[in-house]
Amino acid sequence: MRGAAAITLRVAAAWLLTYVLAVSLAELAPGPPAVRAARASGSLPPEDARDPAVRAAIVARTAAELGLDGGAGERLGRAATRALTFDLGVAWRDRRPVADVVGPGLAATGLRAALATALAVVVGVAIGLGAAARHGPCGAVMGAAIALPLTVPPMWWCQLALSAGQPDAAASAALAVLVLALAPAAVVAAHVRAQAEEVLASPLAPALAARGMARARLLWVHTAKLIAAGLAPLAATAAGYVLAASAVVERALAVPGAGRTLADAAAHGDVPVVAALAAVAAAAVALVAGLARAAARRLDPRLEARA
Amino acid sequence: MTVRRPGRAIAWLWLVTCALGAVGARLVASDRPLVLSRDGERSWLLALDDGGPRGDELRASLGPDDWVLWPPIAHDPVEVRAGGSLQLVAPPSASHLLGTDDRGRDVAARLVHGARASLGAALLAGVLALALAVAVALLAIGAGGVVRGAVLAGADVVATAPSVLLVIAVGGLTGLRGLGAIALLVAVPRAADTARVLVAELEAILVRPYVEAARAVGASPLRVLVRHALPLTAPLLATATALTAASAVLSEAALGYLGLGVPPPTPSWGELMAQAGRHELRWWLSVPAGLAITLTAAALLRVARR
Repeated sequence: MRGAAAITLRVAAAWLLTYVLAVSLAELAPGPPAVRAARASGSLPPEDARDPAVRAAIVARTAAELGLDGGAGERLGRAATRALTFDLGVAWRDRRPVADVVGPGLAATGLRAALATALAVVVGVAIGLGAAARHGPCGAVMGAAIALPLTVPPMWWCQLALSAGQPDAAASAALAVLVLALAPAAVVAAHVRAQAEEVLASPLAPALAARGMARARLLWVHTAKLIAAGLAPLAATAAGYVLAASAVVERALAVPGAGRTLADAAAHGDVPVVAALAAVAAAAVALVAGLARAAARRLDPRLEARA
Repeated sequence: MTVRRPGRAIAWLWLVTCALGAVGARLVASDRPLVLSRDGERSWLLALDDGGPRGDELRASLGPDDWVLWPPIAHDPVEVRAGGSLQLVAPPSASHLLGTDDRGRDVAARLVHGARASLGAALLAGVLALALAVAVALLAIGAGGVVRGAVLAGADVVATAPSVLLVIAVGGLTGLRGLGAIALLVAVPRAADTARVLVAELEAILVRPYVEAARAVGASPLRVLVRHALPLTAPLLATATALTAASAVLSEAALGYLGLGVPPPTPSWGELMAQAGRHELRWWLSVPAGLAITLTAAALLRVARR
């Protein structure tokens, strides 16, 4: 129960701090926010337009509509209130509520990210344990293959896959999960391999073998259990990577999602949408990190004692 | 002489080749000549000049006794009528070894000049991350107590921030774009990650007997840290810098792909991949750029492995 409260507190802090930090950063951008908001929606005439009064009127109306009037401190106060009440305001670009802009994409990206992270853990653990069990050229080849996905940009995987033919919607969704899982799986595999080799070289391995335990059982049951807790610190990094790579993969495979929404909003300087998605990403990473830490403590009681 | 670690040697060879190509991009890919002999007078390295005759205009003006030595790729990376006529997304040919892009620009020339953006981001991010990590670690150890705890807790949070997401978000919020912004925002989370490890490493070194001896003869805490402890962490810092550089190469490519990288018409490898996505995956746009990114990131990771 105490653990759940701590995780909730961390997620709430990540959400609030990131949202306020994002809005504060936006204050550093050149030009008043109302001018940038009007420009983002395409409603602002050029600066050399014949009637500057029209331009001033549009800026004033935008400021009033979007709550961008007043000083920077006032605007930051409003942003903090919005973050606390989960009322994220209106998107600058198309003047729809931010929740309506980011909501549909978030569900798709969240599902894809969860599936990709789960796939990365399962595949990474299997490959890492397999590589640790093999010696000689086979192990060396597996070791080299593990590092490969870390060096290939995700859009290239997508382009290589698309060159074989245009997939349908379901195949695109599956391909997106697969591409997102590749790099985290490589990190998990490399970590598991190193940890498993340590366990196999420890006195535990010959002791269990002397008692008649099969090597497969030693590897897939005992070693896997011993290294499971060590995977927890990778979870937050993997979640962060998957969310970031979503922007690229969703664009490359033309699938809807929050990553594409973020990249489009950033390109158009749509501050409320970018701030909301940044806060969601920070909260998601904090949630995954908290859950992974709790799971690690459950798996390895020594961590609980140390905490 | 035998090379004990051929993988590492090949990685260094690739990186040095790329770096030389990036530094001397104008000597490798330009529509201005390396040597021009006209009316008995020779002009050298015109490719490095911004003015003067170029491309087809120069070819047409040559007399019978004049001669020209062109760079290996005789095209400018931003020239849209490379080769005289406008050839959009043309496949590889004798005049364009890797074809042309959607503006008719030579892909090979853009690939060579694109190395500047990738390696520039890598170098800048590596140096920034190194400086930040060392500064943060020295601050944490030097101040100790509450400051150390706060710095390390902050580093824990910042280290989990994904760099691509950070660049996209900060760019969208502040309008900050370009190579410097990419390098800085890639460097910050990597520096935080390195600082955490560096603090642990330095604290382990500071309890060694020779450090005690240095203290005993009156060395100040700063001198002990900088002169006696920090040099021992050089292998760790070298590895972290190479990893940061690899991360910067991949991040710059991803941002170029999303149209949030270096501003056009500056060439970048990610921008070539974005064009491949827009034009039914023409292989001459995607394969060379993809290979360049992959090989550079792989070489940096190989160099990082001790």
